[in-house]
Amino acid sequence: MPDLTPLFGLLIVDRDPFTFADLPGLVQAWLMDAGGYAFLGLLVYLLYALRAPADSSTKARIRVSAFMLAAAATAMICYAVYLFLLLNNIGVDQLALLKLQAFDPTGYNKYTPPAVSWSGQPLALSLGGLFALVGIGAPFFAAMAHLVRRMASTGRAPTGTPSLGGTFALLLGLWVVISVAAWGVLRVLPTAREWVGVGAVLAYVLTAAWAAYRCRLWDRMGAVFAVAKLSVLDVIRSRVFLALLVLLLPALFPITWFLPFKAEDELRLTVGMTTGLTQVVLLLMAAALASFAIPNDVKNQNIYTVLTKPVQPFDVVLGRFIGYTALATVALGMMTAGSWLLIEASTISPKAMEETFKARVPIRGKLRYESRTGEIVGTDVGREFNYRKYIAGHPSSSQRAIWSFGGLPSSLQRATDAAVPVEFTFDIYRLTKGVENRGVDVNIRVVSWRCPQKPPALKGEGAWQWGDPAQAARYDDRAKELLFAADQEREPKERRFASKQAIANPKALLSRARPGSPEWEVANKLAAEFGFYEIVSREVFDYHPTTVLVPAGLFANAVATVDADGQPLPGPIGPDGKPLPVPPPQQVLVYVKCETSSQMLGMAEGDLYLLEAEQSFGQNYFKSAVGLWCRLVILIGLSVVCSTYLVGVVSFLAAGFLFVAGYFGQYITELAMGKSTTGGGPVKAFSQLAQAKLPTAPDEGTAGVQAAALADNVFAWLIRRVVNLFPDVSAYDWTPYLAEGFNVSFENLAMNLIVTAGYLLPWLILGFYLIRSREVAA
Amino acid sequence: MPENVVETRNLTKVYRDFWGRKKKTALNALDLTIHKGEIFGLLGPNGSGKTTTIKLLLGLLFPSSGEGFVFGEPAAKVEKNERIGYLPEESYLYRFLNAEETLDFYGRLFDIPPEVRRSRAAELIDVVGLNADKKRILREYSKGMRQRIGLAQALINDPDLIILDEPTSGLDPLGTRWMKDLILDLKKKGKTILMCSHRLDDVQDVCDRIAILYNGDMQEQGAVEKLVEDQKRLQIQASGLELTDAVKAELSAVIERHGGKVEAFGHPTTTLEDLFLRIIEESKARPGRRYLPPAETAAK
Repeated sequence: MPDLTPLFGLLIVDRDPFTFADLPGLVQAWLMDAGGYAFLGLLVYLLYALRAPADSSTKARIRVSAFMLAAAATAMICYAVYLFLLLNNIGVDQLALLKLQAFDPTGYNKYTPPAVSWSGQPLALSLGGLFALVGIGAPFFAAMAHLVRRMASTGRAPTGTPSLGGTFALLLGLWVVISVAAWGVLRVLPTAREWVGVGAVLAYVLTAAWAAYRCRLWDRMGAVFAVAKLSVLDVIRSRVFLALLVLLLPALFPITWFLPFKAEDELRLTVGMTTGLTQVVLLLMAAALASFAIPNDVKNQNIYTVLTKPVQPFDVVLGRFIGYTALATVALGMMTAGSWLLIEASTISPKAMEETFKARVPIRGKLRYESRTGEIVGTDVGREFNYRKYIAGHPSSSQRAIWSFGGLPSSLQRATDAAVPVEFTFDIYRLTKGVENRGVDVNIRVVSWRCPQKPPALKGEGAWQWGDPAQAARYDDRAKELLFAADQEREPKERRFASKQAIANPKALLSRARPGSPEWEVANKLAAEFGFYEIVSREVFDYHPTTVLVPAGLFANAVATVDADGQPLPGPIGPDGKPLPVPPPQQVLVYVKCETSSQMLGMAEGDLYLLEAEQSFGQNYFKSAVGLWCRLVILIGLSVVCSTYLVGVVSFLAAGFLFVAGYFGQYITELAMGKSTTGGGPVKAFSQLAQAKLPTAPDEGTAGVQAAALADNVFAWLIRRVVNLFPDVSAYDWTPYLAEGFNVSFENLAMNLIVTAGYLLPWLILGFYLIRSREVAA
Repeated sequence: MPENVVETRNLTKVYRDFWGRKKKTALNALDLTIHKGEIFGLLGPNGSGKTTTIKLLLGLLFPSSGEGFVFGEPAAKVEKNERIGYLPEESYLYRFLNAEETLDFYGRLFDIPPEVRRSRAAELIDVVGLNADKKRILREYSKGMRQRIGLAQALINDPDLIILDEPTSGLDPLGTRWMKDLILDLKKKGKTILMCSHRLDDVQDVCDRIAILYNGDMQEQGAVEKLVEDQKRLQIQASGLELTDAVKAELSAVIERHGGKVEAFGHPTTTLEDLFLRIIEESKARPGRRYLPPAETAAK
């Protein structure tokens, strides 16, 4: 029997992490955004190259290939097509949706990742961006290909070293073997997913390291490795690590010595302190080292002796980038391992252990609100943080918060003790004081798609009805029958019911059932048969996480295609009347109702979820470090690229500005779009200020107002372009997940790596051009 | 026809400010040719364009106009650096590395295979006389030692063209002589050497040809002997006789009879460098040797 003490989870999911499903949309947005900058860069480069004197020295430095010209011409055609479509209003531009919007004080702006659009305008923009990126990136990619070719050549490695290609093929083979083995183990031991995942990742990394050693990768990397090693030696011998250790001294003293805290918050505080300290120390160190390295080389003229060797200038940039990234990786690994050991070794309060010393694997659903009158938006009770919406509480209220879940894993049907936990944390907004020390009662109805519910027809009726009333009656009969049968199994003196009819409220009886009890078996059987389970009443407290258990049979019902007798069951029908495959997208629905009068129950999409599994805190701790690693790589990349043109201090400030602005990217976008504040954009706001009008005053529709709106739209467009220069820093922040005890999935981490690569690539191309065009001895 | 290792045509470098306004013409239409196997010296006062020329040839600067070629390749091409060794005026090396690490680092930049890199580094450390100090980081080196390791890094790739910017800067007379001998030795091995120096005696000692730059313009170019030879004056050296008044009178009579005029009689002087080296050699041979005032010497 599972521990039924409440499982806590206070995570605020104000944006969903990127998943592989977001990849196509992100790629298209990247092509449009990065491609736009690439096109500008390509035009500037071509104009410069074509006007520069064509003597042999210049030709050797500034090459304009036919391919580059062709790519530029094609990109130009694509952008011309886009302009034509835009002017003729053909093919909706998804970016147009982002133009200045009316401020909605009740709306919560949850981040939504870009979606793929096949309309004419975005397609033209994407293609234009693609060709521009290929055109401007051609010399960069050629340099990278040259580097790889040189690495593959046998001259660099010691005699007799296995070839690069052969080793790479061997590594791929090993990775296939590891993947197949992991898959095989998972088939046999599906519950060991966590350790199989960790083991597979370790095996990938170790085999990669072995392959690098086998073909002497560092020797093959030539100048790039030489500069990378130089960077590492520089840091070690300049004793930067000592400074790092001094900065980390506070981590030795538990944060709980200095701050008052509630027992259950102990781990949250410790995690926040260790990850925060690691983050600040490493980010500052990485930015400072990477910003000053190349400018110092130029200032001290060390670079003279490097660039007078057969070294491409970008090899120095790449070497510095790789060197500092390696250093940051080692430092992060050490600090993560150290702080994890610190947490493991310290005595944490049992309450905190219970709440957060774990890694829940939640299955999240989509939230909507409905009432007798149809879909509603939920009530805004006037809280500044309008993350949650509220439903009115009353026995006769028809308002429901409805979570729908789709794509559920089959493991739920085989859950331990046939019980699937559903966790939730609600906010209570009290219109009256209520009863002292008493929470509010909620009713939770969990149904599969086979048991549709419909709102009451009459005003004043609170209970939602079954779509098929006859089925509801059958459910009651069957419940009584099974409960009575189960009761008869007991010793005569323990029997509670004289007859089937004596069971007055079978639903209430079943909702109090505990896994392992005969009642739970009945509940599970009924859930498998009817796809219905109801927790008639459960007391919840303000922001106090609660768990209820749902019979696993309900999830089996959602995917069943035949009944207990082997007869085929009817399948789902779509809105267009056509049959849908089993299970349909809305596989399981959870209806939440507030039963207590004069109380409002607030909830957001992330507040209720199905708990698929629990993994260990330790592996989650290390996984969450991947997000910080991505941020470090981004900051090092930005710093190194800025330092190819700027002096150390300015480079440090520029990279720091770009990085820090990333924390406010979404807010800046919302501000530019008019989503975050009332009064429109800056021009409209200025005009209102000049005319001493209230921001909420209605527009008059005059030419001036229209001109201001147009100017604000242009401003919003420009700001959105500028925001693209900032890294999406919040996408890498896993600390709340770790602190609240939620698992960080490998899929999310893989997306972190992809997004990091996508962000850095255009910057590296810029760095390539900047260092190549720089006279280091000037 | 000798093979040209370095060739510049109308090579010009104009430094401009951020707005593109002209600040200074550092080099003006330089036409220069350096043949294979010769030692070529660039002379000139500070700011005359010597180092600018070298930086243009190495690709550290881009020409404002004109062209520079090294081994027939444009100066901007990185690949030409495979055959070049460069010793900058100051030894701009990474001071946190020791001698072995320094040579390993620069060897890697040339893609020299590890085993070759190691053996060549050991050999060069021996050649420049830093065997005893090869594990010390360069921060602890004297200026002369840094110049020596700087030369070693310039030779790590066994280059065909060696560019030396003030090679004797910071060296003591012993080191200067060692450097000059090494330069002459490299010439014997068929290397081409381009050097620039303020120390005219060094240039005169080792260079085959020189070019004199002033304010970015080339003022003179040619073989050292030809350029320094004074065709209007005559020098007679003799030995085995004392310079008495009778000898002077007789020699004057002969010279005047042939239309010449005696300017001075005297004994030839050695160079201060030769004197210094002789004394050091003697000191090494006789450890107790020390300076005695003339009176003491006479008493002995």
